[in-house]
Amino acid sequence: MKTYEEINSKIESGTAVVLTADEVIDYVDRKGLDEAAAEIDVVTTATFGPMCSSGCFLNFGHSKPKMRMTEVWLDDVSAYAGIAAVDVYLGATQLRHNDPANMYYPGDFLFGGGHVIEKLVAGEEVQLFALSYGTDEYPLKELRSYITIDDLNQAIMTNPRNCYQNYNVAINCSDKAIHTYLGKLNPNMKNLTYCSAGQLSPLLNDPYYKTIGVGSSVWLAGAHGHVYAEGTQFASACERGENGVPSEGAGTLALTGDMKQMTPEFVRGVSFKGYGVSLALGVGIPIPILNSDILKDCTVRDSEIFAPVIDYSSVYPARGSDVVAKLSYEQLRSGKVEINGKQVLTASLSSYSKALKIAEMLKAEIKQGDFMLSKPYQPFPVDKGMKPLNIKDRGGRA
Amino acid sequence: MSKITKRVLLTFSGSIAGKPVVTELIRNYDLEINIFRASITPNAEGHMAIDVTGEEKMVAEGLKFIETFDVNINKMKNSLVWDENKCVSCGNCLSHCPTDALYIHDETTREVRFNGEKCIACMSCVRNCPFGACSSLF
Repeated sequence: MKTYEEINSKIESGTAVVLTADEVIDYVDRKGLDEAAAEIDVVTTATFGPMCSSGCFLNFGHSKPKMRMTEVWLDDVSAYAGIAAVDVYLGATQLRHNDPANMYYPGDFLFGGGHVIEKLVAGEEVQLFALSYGTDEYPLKELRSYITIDDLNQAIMTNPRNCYQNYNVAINCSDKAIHTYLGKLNPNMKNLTYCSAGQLSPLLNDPYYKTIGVGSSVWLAGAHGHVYAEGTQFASACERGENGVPSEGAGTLALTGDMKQMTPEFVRGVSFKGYGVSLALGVGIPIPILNSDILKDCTVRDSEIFAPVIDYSSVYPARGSDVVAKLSYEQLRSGKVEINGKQVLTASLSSYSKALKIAEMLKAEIKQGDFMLSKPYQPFPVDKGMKPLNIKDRGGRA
Repeated sequence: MSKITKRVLLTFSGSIAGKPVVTELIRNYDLEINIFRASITPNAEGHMAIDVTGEEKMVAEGLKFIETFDVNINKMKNSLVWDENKCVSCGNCLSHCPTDALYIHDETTREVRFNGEKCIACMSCVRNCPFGACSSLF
């Protein structure tokens, strides 16, 4: 048994024993659970992939004369300005003004909110265009300027839903190709796409949220951020395997961090043909090994984590519940699986390679005493369901 | 005599459009030409990505013959460009690449690499990479 305080003081003195969620599997096999739990202080988990519910609050500072910006575009991508005078929220999936979207299907969606965020983090110049109706104290009605992240007072990434605990595997059972947020799916189950770091992924290593909760410190694309709330659509009351690991979406995290501290390598705009734009992010989360149960959860392997294969041509759009198959991440990573006697090519949208790199980077920071753990001040609920939206008439008749 | 295959990318000025260069290569040098992709417009710069197969001496002479026109022969470059810095090694391209030109270089780190020699410039990766790591020279 260890406490957060004990682990943090070891980190401070540079003596903490830290392993990645990838390394820890073999290590515990060799040492045995109890001996390893006494020895290891922290296990680092990580993930890198598209996370659509991401965005940032920006403060531009005041122009002379002053302006209460009511409509704002950054590189022609609209940012929400319905907050204070020169604050906006720029969302990852916002399309660029005049993007034809899917008018000429499948659309290319070459540039959007995620790409603007990538440019800001990379230190590149972005065009700011703002309009206002003008008031007595904020007379300016139109402004065009160029900014970099250094010109901003604050650039705080604030993501309502990141790090899905597990995720659907998308397949296409129809006889026409479809374009989705999980890429192009060829007809007749020719290929499938999955999107999780599996055995390295944060919430798959802490299936019952014993250490990850509101207030936990996280590595958000290089910045030292934290979990500010349960993520939207958090649904812990889900189907779980005998090991407690969810075999569907389940938990999510709301994360925030200072964009000025971020590393461009881990903040990348993405374009999905026929679907839209988004932002791929790298997240690392340290798990304190307070006891052997927590360590046991960290030894989960790809072969013990299962994801549901869903038909994105009919079942997913209709909010159906049919599952084509359940596959382990070991099977998914092999490049080829068999479903109903048919060979299906598999591919990932989540980068295991980048996740591995993040887990190593976070490990190095903790070992050097540069990254401290924080005890969550509010645990996540373990029995929370997710409500659908039922379309009703006024007054509640279905 | 054993045959060799050379992959070349031809870039030519508008002035030679209309000359039956490929036909002459086949007839006069006994070469097999496999055109992956070509973009040829009269009076504009054109591109052609080809594999030239034949006896080593004939391949060399054939390429020399092409150079007598206003043609730039690039033996190193592929018409398909994979940008290592834009690639995040997610592997989304792998199920779309029919020749395994995009492949996992190391099973442990799962890093993706590109082998230009296997690429047939089908453009499937260009359409499917969300990170814009694959693009075409023409």
